[in-house]
Amino acid sequence: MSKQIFKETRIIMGMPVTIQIVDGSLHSDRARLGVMERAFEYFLYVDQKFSTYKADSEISKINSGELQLADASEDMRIVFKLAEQTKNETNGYFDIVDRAGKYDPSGIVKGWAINNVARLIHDAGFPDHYVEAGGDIQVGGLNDADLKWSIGIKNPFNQTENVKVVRLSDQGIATSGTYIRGQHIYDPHDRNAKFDDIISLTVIGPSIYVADLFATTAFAMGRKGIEYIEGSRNSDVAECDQLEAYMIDSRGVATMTSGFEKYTCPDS
Amino acid sequence: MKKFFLSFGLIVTFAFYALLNSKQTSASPTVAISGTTPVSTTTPPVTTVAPKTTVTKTPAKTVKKTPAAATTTTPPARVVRESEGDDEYGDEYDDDYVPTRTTTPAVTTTTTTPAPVVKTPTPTPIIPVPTPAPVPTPAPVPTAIANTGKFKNGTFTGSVVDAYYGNVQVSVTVQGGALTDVQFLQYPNDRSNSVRINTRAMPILRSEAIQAQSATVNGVSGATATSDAFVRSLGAALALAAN
Repeated sequence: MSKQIFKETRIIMGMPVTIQIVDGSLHSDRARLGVMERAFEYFLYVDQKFSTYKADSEISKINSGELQLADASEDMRIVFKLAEQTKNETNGYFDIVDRAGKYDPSGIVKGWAINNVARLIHDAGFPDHYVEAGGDIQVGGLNDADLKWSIGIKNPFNQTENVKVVRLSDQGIATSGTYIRGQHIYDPHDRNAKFDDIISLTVIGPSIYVADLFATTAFAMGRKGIEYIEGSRNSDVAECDQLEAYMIDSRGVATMTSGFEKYTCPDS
Repeated sequence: MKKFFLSFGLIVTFAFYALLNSKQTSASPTVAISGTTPVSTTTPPVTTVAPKTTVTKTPAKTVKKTPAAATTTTPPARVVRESEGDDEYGDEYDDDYVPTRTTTPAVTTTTTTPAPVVKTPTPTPIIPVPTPAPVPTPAPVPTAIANTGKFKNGTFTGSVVDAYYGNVQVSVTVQGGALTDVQFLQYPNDRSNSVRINTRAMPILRSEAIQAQSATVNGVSGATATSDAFVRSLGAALALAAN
């Protein structure tokens, strides 16, 4: 009767995608395997539609002028609408139009897809689940020990280690970082600015979609990124009220938002 | 400059790993680092060799020495305030979702192979290279590693690896048989745009020196996608450089 975790990892969109489902004996193996399969298929579907590296993807057709946005699929129009909304919320920082003038919504699509898959699994009758794509995670319910999911924040200096463990439920956690790829994010208002003294910035939010967007946005702000999250916590936007962040700089010093530590209690 | 050394050390450690993995050799190569040589090598991207790498995990748990706790105070901040918009991202996931049964690639879970231990002052990193590397044209990896394990002089360009957010490609430069430079010929730059921050009073945020945690976890959050691609491209470059 005890609960069990069912876990599977596949490589999709060039990154490891992991799904964990907790179940006792409520569901049949067939039901569980079925939802697992549908979840992975959804990621493939999203990749096929939104990958700018696939010439035949819908986004590529929009970029080539072959397809007008008005004639695009519903999902495409939703993502574009979300992009517009996010652009406003981040004061224009987050823009899916790249420097070549092409649309590249990949910064939005990953969190959106994880979110949708988590909902898909939830709606199929599995409230206790974990959905991860390339280090960005959405968790629902509790783990097999009936505790909140324990999530490590990876040590950017040593990928085999965690430097923090947080306990989450019905939340998302995303990390933006340079790690070993070096400086590549810049503030277009200051072309000479170097932000590479911040190596990793992790954001906890009410969903992976929100966490991912704010991690990306705040990371590009360098040292001020953590303050941006801190300030967002008290903003008028309800979903931002629940944002917390943990930032690691190149000296190995971490700075956290004022409510972050409530997540680090063991076995909460 | 400190930063440079740090990241360079990391890169070189990865280089060790990529090499060891691609070679499966027992003799660890002697690689000297001359971090101060800014060799400007801008070779045109060439698609080359795919490394013979497997998913490896270091079983050994290394405890990283963390820098002394620095009490840092963050300066008064400026923060974006106004924002609006309704939250509807989660509601329409299946509007035109058509499940396809066609593509179900590579079920890869954790293949745990003991990795060789590299004796470097830096903490041993893991190189999580997904097995089905989307690198085309697997060319013969030079197998005659010979006794020394040293590299040939020259500049060697790794393959272009898709990190989903963009392509990653590196080139390595070897001088005097030692790895002297690693350059990024391509890296994702999708996350760039304007930042505007407004003034707002800010509490002083708490800081701490990071410390390794030993607790078992259900999952790990980290920025991994590009790193994997980096390692794959680097492995290809080093395979070419091997003597």
